[in-house]
Amino acid sequence: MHDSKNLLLVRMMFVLTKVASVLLLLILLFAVVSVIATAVSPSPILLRTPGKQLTLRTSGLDVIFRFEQAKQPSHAVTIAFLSALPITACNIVVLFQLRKILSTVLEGNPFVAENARRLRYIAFALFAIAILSTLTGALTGRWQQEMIQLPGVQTVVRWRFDPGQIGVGVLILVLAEVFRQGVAMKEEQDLTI
Amino acid sequence: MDMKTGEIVIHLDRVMLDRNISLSELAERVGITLANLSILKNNKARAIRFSTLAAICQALDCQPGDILKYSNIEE
Repeated sequence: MHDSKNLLLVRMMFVLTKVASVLLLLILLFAVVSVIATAVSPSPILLRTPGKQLTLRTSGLDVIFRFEQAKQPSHAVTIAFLSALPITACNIVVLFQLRKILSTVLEGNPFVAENARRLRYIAFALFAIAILSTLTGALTGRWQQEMIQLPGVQTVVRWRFDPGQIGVGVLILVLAEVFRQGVAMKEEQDLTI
Repeated sequence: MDMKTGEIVIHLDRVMLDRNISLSELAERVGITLANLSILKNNKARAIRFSTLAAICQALDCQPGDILKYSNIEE
């Protein structure tokens, strides 16, 4: 009875480690792609285009203004890139901690105090991302507002806050605490001979 | 749990000396690893299973009282 239970656990761990190794590769790939993506195409973005026109590019729609008076933004890409940097840094923190957790899973010893701490870091990074994306979104919006000065066009800076991200962060924080207590139980178990 | 109690200490040395048995031999007979037996012998363990205690008592042909002692706090 006890043995068959252990066997099932070992098999499950084996499958889990296989999945984890695939995830590890995917995460590394995702890290590279996300860094490039946030650097190259933050949205929405103003584009300098040849001729007297201004393009407002959102994820699904390009709005082109043809006006003689259209101001040409010169540092749009630079500023969008710089504002995306702190968020990218937080993303890298999340991925790096996740990678470390997965490597302990691969080693077959995920119940260590470090993993509880890593989960907590991930939660805090998610909180930071939620706040930073609100700030940088409004800041780039404010900056772009100055660029679009066209007759008949009204622009409004939008403060967009995503409570879902905070929710996920809280959930992970709870998991970290569950993990911490689990680690304490495992230490007790390990010292029971 | 502020109440201070004494602690249980394990004395394996004397009984092992009497039976003329080595640590690794005892570990093999009891069916636990040498590392775990060392933890037990050096009083680093936090708890002992009844099954382990029974196995040790069988291997050493002794009673739990022969290897477990209660030491009072010094006053």
